[in-house]
Amino acid sequence: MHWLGAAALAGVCALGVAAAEPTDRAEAAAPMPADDAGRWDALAHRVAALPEVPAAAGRFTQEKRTPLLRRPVTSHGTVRFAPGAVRWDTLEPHPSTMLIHRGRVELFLPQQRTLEVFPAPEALPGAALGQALDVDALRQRFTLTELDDADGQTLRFVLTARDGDDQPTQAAAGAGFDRVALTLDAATGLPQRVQLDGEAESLVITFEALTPQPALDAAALRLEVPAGTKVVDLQTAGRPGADG
Amino acid sequence: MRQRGPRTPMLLAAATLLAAAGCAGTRPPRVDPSALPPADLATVFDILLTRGQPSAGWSGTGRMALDDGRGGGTTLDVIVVADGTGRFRLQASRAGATVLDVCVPAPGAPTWWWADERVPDAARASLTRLPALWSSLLNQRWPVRGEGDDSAMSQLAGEPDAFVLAVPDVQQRVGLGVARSGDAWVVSRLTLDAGPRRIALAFDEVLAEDVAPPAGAFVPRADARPVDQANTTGAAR
Repeated sequence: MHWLGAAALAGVCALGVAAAEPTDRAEAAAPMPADDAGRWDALAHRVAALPEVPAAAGRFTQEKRTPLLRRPVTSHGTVRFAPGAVRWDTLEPHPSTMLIHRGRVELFLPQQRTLEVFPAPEALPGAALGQALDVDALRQRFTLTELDDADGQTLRFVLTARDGDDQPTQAAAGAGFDRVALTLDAATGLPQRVQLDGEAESLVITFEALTPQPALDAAALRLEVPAGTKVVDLQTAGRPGADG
Repeated sequence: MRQRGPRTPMLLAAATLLAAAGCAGTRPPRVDPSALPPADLATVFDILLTRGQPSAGWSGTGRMALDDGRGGGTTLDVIVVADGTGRFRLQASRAGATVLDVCVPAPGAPTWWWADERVPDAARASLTRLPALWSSLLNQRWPVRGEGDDSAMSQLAGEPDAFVLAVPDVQQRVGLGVARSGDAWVVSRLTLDAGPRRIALAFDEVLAEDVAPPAGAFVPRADARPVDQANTTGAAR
């Protein structure tokens, strides 16, 4: 299975940061400001220093912890990013493919021979997948409670929903998450780990061997399904009051 | 004792076939219930309920297909948790985002409901009855033939571990699949039919546990509402 919240948030930090200058790790390891405004400025500075990565591919492991179960629910697969598109191919426990592209999600379930199409979450900063990490947009919705790059290898920061603002909760794909912790590779800006915490659940996505790739056209990630696949457009189906 | 349930693709395949048959308006051939000796029926209920090995908790993870009977529907990842007292929780998600949450927080309490607006309303009527159904199963209170009602059970031909129940008070047709799990038996799939609509749950992992589910398992989400107040999907958001 996929975790859209994590997927989209991973897209926030995955690609296309603007500047092409290599990361200065000595500079990155400078002491972090103690106040929120200072941390945001520092994050913006760090992000601006990250190199541009046109595309990336690797593996992922996603782990969902819920109060319903004593053990986490885990899935594995591969992920590919290209400008404006992210494709997740889950291999276990259930094969499926999810493509987030042009503001919508295409989810193919081969066992069910079904393709479901639904809108990508609009409020999520990462809905602009493959675009630059918009620090200003994040700043409007989150408090930057932690920022750490002391090891010189990673850039880790924690976003917490601002009090009285439910936008971040909606932003996390409606999944009720109000704290987001991201760990990026300081050299590439690619995500290593994303954690979303909510009142009752947490979601951790860990990337392995996620490496920059030559530029890909979004079409390269195009989802092609076998003939006879049932297409369910959830952008129009199942509306309130659509009971039969 | 911890019982690890079935993982066989066969169960999923069977559920898919069952669903396909339902969607097409046909039903798999069944054995006439009257042809089943009563002892067999009793055995079925025994095996459903891990008899002899009381379980404090029960959980299942898998997929749930909702079919509105009009060509629509969706498939969701699902977690079901129940205990032997009537507490129940079903949480379904699509692409990692929770879209459906059904909870009975205490024995006899109303069902609390929350659903994303894209979950078909057609699913609601069936799903809100699911906790009572599940509670009956876990507490061995399912009406067995001869108890004064006209519920009936039949066995799917060629599937010795699959049964169909027709239960008047549920107003639905219920299909059950069971599977051996060590010394116990567990529910591996369940279908609810109401007219052309169908809900099919197929579990790829079922755990009957000797410890109670986590304390937070039966706490409704903050924006859920008792089902009689949640007059439509999305209303309780």
